[in-house]
Amino acid sequence: MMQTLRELCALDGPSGREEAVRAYILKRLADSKVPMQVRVDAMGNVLAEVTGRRRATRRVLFAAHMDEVALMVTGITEDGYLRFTTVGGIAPDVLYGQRVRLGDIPGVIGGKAIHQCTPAEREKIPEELLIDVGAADAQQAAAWVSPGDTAVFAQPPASLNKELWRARAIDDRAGCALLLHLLAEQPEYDLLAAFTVQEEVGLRGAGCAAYTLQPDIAVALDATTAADTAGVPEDKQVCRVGAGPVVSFMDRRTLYDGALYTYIRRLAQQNGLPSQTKERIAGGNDAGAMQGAGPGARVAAVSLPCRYIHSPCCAVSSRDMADTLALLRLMANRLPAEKNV
Amino acid sequence: MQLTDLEKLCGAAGVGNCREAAETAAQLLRPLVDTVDIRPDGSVTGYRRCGRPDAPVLLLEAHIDEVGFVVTNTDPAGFLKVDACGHADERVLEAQPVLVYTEDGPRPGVFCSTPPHLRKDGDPRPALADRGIDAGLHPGEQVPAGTFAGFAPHFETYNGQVCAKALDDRSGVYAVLCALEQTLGRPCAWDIAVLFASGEELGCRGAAPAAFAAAPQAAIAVDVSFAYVPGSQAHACGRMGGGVMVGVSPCLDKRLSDDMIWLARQKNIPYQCEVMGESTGTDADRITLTRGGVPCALLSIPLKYMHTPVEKTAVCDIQAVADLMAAYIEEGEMPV
Repeated sequence: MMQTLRELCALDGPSGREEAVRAYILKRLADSKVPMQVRVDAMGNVLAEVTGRRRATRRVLFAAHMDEVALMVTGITEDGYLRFTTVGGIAPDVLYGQRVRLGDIPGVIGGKAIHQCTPAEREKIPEELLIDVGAADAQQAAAWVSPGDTAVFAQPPASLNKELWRARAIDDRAGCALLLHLLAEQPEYDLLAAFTVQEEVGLRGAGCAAYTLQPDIAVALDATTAADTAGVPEDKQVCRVGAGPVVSFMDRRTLYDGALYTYIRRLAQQNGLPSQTKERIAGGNDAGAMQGAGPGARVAAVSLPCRYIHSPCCAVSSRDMADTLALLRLMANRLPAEKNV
Repeated sequence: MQLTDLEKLCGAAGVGNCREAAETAAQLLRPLVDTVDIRPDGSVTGYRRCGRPDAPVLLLEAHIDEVGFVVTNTDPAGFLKVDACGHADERVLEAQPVLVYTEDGPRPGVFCSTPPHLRKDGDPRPALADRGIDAGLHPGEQVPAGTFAGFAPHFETYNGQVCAKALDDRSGVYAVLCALEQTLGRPCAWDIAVLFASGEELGCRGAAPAAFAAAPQAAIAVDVSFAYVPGSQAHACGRMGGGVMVGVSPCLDKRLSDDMIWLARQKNIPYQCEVMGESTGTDADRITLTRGGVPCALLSIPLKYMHTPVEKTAVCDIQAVADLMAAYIEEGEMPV
């Protein structure tokens, strides 16, 4: 599964530009021996209806988003530097001093040398950040880049220890990898899967996917903010890498189905799997859109704890990936016919 | 010399006591001079004899160290606490990839960062002491205090420009190596002493003792200087791609500065003047005060984003520095 994640994180997929990720997923699904019907909707969501060994009594959907936070070129300065806007939430200070890539064109984001800054300037990054692609002037830059082109982080991945791996775009290629591996063997019951678009710009793809697939229960698979990092006190860590899948009861976009939340936590516990919850009402994911789509759905979120999310160096644990997949498999094999929740 | 050699130089560790950059430079220097040494303080020295007895000694200098960090302790959760080793631009540290140069080899890490979901606009930037490096240590594991860390190596070339960490001053080291290669076997009136000095980023510490040992009659220091970027003042910067920046300062030897400009014009080497009203902030300031005093010139390579992991220079500017140095080696005269 980490190999799948590595391959997925090597692909560029800014929101609304998910083509490369979608092509990879479609190929993986086409190569699968599990019987399923796959289509791509008008938004670009990949929708799969998977035939299980038995018929489900209700429709259960697992969804992961294909897109990633990125930058979009808005213009070119007289000097040949690129103006840009962020696509999704990226803190400006995370961009400063980082490398980005526009297709094959390398760029960097920087400013006046620290030596030339006034004391006040030294404390903050410049108001307007620009991408430097090394163009001599505006004309040369315009020959290479057009407004609307997107840039992604360019830093290569690295292993931090035997389990911890860092890369860009883990949010939410981790969810995509989990979902691909969940679908790699035929589930007990019929199942629905969606690889969605445009999550990072307002959960825009998942609602349409849920409208079409009409789930009774929809589960968002995402990466979420683990702040178990240097100097952060325990009560502010939100969730922790290595402590297993994160099952949410509430975030900024969703009040999750209470019975489902309790059921999933208990399911993990009864099967000897670690699980944790998100200890802060922050962020949001596709569940928020799926909850209100069409006639509405009961929703849950199972997320991978991820440090430094929305940066070039998101970090997740392979053990968490394996534990999350195990929990998802339990859910997939029970929820479609479960009478107790 | 090829750009792959510059890539090797930039990729090597040169923070604090790390010796990899010095060893890499020494290896590249060996075929170009008669003798090479690495001093105990990490400076690389070399010497090329011209064959004439009592030939004057010309010192070519660039610094080999780079800005970075030094581990001061490991917190109980396994995050590395660091202090500065040189003045890296601390505004770039959010989620910045690094290498921790442990005894067992380099270990990837990343500066901790709070995700946007969990912070508000205007939250103050954490001080370096309040940050930590996540190098994947488990709680209770430690990296010894005194271990150095630096920006993660990378190397891109595009449109005649190079982007890497530590181009300050490996591009200068590379320019010196290029000049030595261009003049290899050519007649020359100088003995040439080469110095790739340690400790520049900690206050020009390594240049003085090594220059004392070399006892030169003249010197050329090569460093990087500020290239114009949006937000800076064009008149206070060099222009990237505009050629070698010839330093003019009350602390530099005027005859040598004039000679450099004259030679650049003679040889059609692109140049620009960098006028400084006081000391230069480079090793040239120390070299000039060696023994009874040494006339010194400063040639600079315009560089963007100094002291960040994404420093950029133009290949043609590095070449212009090398060409001007080579011209001086062959044709320059003792300033009198």
